[in-house]
Amino acid sequence: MNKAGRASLVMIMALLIGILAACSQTKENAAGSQTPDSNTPSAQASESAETQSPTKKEKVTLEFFSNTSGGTLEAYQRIVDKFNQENPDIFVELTPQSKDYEALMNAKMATNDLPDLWNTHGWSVHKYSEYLRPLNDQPWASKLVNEIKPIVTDSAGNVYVLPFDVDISGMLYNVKILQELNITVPETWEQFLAACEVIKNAGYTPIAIGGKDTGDVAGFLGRVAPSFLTQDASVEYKDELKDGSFDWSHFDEVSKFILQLRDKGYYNVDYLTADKQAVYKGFAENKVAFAFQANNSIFQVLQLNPDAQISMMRIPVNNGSPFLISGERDAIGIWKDTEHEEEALKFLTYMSQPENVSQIAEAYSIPAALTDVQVNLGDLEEVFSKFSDVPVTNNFDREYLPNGMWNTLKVVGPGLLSGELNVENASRAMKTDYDRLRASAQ
Amino acid sequence: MKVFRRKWTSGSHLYVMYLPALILFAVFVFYPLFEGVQISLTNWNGYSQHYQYVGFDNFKMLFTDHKVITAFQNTLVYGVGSTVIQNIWGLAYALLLNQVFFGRKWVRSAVYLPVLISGLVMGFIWYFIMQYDGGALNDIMLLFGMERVDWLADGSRGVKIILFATSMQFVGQAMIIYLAGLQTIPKTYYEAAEIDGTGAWRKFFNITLPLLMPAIIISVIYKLIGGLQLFDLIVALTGGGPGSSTHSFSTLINSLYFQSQNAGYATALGIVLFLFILCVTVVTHKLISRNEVEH
Repeated sequence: MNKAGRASLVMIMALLIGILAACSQTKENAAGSQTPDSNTPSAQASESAETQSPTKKEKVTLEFFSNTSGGTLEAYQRIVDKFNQENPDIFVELTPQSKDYEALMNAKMATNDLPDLWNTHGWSVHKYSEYLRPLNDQPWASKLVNEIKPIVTDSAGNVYVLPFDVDISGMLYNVKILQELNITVPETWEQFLAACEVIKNAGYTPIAIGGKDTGDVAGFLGRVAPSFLTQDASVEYKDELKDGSFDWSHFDEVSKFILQLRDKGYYNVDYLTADKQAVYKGFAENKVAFAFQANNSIFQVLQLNPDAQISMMRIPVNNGSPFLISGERDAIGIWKDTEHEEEALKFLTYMSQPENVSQIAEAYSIPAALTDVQVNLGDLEEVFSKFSDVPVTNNFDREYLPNGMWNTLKVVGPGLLSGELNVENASRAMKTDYDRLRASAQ
Repeated sequence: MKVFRRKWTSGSHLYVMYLPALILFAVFVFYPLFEGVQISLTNWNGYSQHYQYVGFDNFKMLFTDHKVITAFQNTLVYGVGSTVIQNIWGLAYALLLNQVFFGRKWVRSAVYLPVLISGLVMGFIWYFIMQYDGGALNDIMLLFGMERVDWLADGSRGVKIILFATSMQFVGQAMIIYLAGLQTIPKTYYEAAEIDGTGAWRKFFNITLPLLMPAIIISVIYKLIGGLQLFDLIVALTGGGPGSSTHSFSTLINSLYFQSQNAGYATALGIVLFLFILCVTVVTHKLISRNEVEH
């Protein structure tokens, strides 16, 4: 072999060895290479601890994936920084992935390569339990409030997450506009329609929708649908929805109602293209009366206008009692195959301290999921205590639809509003995905 | 052994140099493509460890799904439309900026600069221009006493706005390709044409255009592939909406795979997109290269 031939063989071998070496890096090595930002307090604290320690212990990095954003993410970051400061041997790396979080987690589940800890965004039992370590043995597990216990417990009695709060919400309304127009908070859809008419005639926007964010429209459908299908005393399809025998032509009523609101001109002019920020702005500038959104929007509106008067109301129903929606919101689980279980449990125990739980719950303006935690809910304190005995149902898609149908709502809702789907096609699209995802889950 | 040594030394060892590229190509292109074909024949939801083979059901469904048909039409508009606009506009810019005048470098930079901005950022910039409440365009219209318009509420108008936005962003790339092409044309041809008294249009059609054909081929194919794969600008500007009226194949595939958890169907659509781009590129190349001129 001549010189050129030997050189080329050496180059190929070096390249292959390089690729193999890079691929075979262990997780510890990879984690070890991820050093914390030296500007953060946690990093500075850990650096100083390392320099002072005579026997330098290898630092463990815990990957923590979060779907949160805004005030909730800030609260998580504050707690994580404090934990990192107090635990120089552990570095919790909080990675926010708000936009494509579910897609990312799906890909990670498909390859069984999950982070040590992650937010389960309402799906700890139905989607993630297969990948999570049961946490019944943890000291805080006995302190779950009754409103969250059945939601985060599977049929075998296992709890897979540390829940921070109970996602109780209904609809949002502008107190100032309703008071100005002498409108009592509606409890039936008939009253709601009458209120919208008065509000529209007074020059305000009755209902604000941020249709560019398809999640906003899905949330709208997810609030109206249970009112017509599961909470109405005269027509209740709970069992049929759960056992798969539901006749999806009944969903026509939901679609018709949504289109009725559109045709009467109750939505903001740009309901198809506005983003959520436009909805917050509408409330902050006292132009909007109602929105089918959760309570964290109150926080966003108050940031724009601290004097805005915005509160939560129950979702109207034609026959029966208006209701609220409850569910799992902020919760963290531990990957069952994590190599750092001890450290992950230590972090979770730290997170379960009352002052940490209350920080997370307050960021979303909802009650805590642990019994010994006090949450400052501001003006909503009175609202929650007023509604302490009202009917509460889990989120429609989580309780009655197979996993994945939140995204169907994100397609069907905008499809209806834009005129792309008529009432029958909307029901057909719901049925198609319901059957497909049910079959896939089984 | 002697035979082997003779062959090795005669230069065939250079073939070994292909090996790393071949390995990388196999790992990152062939293997995913093979996996993709497999997934397209299943009802996989994108993350579960369990799925069933459904034969060609996913491919059959593609032809009756109105979302796919709309996305196909839009993809053609984005692909062909942006290719035509960018190439005509880019060539015009190149012809202008190939002349010597004060500030030429600044103008070249200004035209090319948007290429450096990410598609997502460009999408948001256009959203802030076109949005109903507080959008720059509507604010200008209000100044002139006109009514505000919800520009993105109409799907067909949304497609045109996306087409315009992507064309304006990447026209600088076509300009650079044509500038490079123009500078390879010998000046002697133009000098000879001038001696013969040839007009500007004649020079353009008989000298510039034929000799620019290699640059045209590169630019057209490059723009066509980019346009057919348009993704991030749509995500930021309209999210594929209202409804699914502005989706391209790429954004629809993303939505089906990651949002609707219908990985089998989305992958079937991806394979169709791959074959479609392959056919369009090959046909376009053949058609244009017929007019290529050697100099």
